[in-house]
Amino acid sequence: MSRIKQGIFFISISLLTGSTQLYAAEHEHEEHGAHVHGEAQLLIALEGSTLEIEFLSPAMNIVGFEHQSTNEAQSHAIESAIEALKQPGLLFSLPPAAKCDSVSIEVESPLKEHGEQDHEHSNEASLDLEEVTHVDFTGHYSFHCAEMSKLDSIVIEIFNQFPGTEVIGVQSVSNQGQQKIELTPDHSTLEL
Amino acid sequence: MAIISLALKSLLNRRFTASLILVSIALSVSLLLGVERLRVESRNSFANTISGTDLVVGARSGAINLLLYSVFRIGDATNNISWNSYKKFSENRMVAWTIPISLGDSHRSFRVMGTNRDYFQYYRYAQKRSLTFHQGQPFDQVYHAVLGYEVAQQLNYRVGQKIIIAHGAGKTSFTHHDDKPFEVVGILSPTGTPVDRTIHVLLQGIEAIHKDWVAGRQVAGRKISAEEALQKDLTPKAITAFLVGLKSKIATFKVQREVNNYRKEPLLAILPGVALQQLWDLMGVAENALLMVTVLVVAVGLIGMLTVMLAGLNERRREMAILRSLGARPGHILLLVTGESMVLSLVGVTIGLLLLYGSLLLTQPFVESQYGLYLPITLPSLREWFMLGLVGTSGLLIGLIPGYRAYRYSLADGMSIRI
Repeated sequence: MSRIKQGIFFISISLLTGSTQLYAAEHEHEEHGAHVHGEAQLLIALEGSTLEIEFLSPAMNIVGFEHQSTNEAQSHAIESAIEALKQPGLLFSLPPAAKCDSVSIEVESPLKEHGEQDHEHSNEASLDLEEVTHVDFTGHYSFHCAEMSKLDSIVIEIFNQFPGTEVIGVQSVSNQGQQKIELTPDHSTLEL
Repeated sequence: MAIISLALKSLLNRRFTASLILVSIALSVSLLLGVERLRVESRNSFANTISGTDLVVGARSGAINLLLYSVFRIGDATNNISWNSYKKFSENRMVAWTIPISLGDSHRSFRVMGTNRDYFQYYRYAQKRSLTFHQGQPFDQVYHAVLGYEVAQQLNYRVGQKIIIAHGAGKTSFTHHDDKPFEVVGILSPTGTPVDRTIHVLLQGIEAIHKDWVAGRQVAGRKISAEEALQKDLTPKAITAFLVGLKSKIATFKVQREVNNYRKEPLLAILPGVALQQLWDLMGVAENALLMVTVLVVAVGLIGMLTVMLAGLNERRREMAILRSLGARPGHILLLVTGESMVLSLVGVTIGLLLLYGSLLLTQPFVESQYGLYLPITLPSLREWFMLGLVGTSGLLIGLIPGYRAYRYSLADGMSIRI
């Protein structure tokens, strides 16, 4: 009986210390955001005369693969995707009456434009990709709109630009409040 | 006109069956409208509870879960968040104000919430309305409490009264913090939100009553009196959640990301408006199912009317024949029978409406105190008028069926019918 008790005691002690160790190790925990192919996110904030739009999309929707380019065609695809992402006019059409001018554009691509890794390391590279299987493109666009009151809707052209996109979850924030809506290729106008 | 009065008299002559039909139509209509009312008003009351708050931050769980327990006091927190994390984000340069929230204790089934004075300054409900005092003033001492309107009404509390807070959120708690009573210093004006059913104290108050508690129990040998507790450091170690107001809406997503990517503690920041929308998406399925059921109940009521009218028709063939012999055309017979159904459905709808308002009047105080749902007695909305119109039209269309049969009979039957 006492042996069992002793055993339980040791197990609980080791669990306790184990968990504290775990706690220490996990102090800097890893993050894995949600990532669904075919779905992209659009975050829209407006206040005063500033309109900010952030576009997040799995690379799969944009270029059709989620690994570093391994051939010429793939590096070309990445290159043209980044080129398109740098032109907000291709992604959203804002009502001309609102007189919005693009102030800044930042595009982050997880994939390099040119296949920089050499073939000797290609094995290693694919291993890496198994660890980090999902990669996202992000685009950050900032506009200055002279007539903000005329900005009543935004037509999302992303579906035409990147046909791999099936659903865009839109969250928008303004002085009128917060809203969430899902847009699809058939229903691609955001009413503000 | 003569036909309508004839229809009315004919119905009056069969008042027993007619009133049974009326009851079934009226009940089904009031059920339909009642469900619609509840749906709309529960949405309104949710949407009105929080306004002007840009983010809600709590322990990482689901967005809906966090919104429900922090703002609506429904359910419990999965975890608390550390005071240090709260401090860090409240000092963020993009943050205009924060309201800390600490939940977990109760008083006679009303939740006790620990917060600070910023709550009265920054919390907004409905269309950006701020909290006002019905009586008294905000708390400024550790053992002060401010009651929601409903709490004061139901428990008949006044400013100056002492109350004892119970440990835990259950309806009947066996452990009370009876050594440290709180003095009521203020009562808030009614808001129609969960605030009405909340007792507000300072975070330090929550900390003080738990000073001599270890692992959820009061330790016998370590009793700390109310005065002694005041001498101790009453900075809380953890809170349940906090509301954030930002200097600029533009920063909303940025701050949200900063919170969600905070390395030291798994936190979750949600946009209350967006989380509410997610809640509607979830509830929409159940709401539609409920609406479908009530629509079917109305259909059953109308079909009941059809059955009775058709069954009665055979008995009334002689009556029709007499009418015909007195000069009524077959079209008049059609109008008479259809008119009867129409009168039945219209009167049924009217009684249903009266029934709805009657039950609203009766249940309003109960629903408000039990579920925190305020059901305003207002005229029917456009959607409700539309529903009523639909029921009336269906009644008319259904009435055409016995009407047409009576029309056929009246063409074929002579005076001497063998029934």
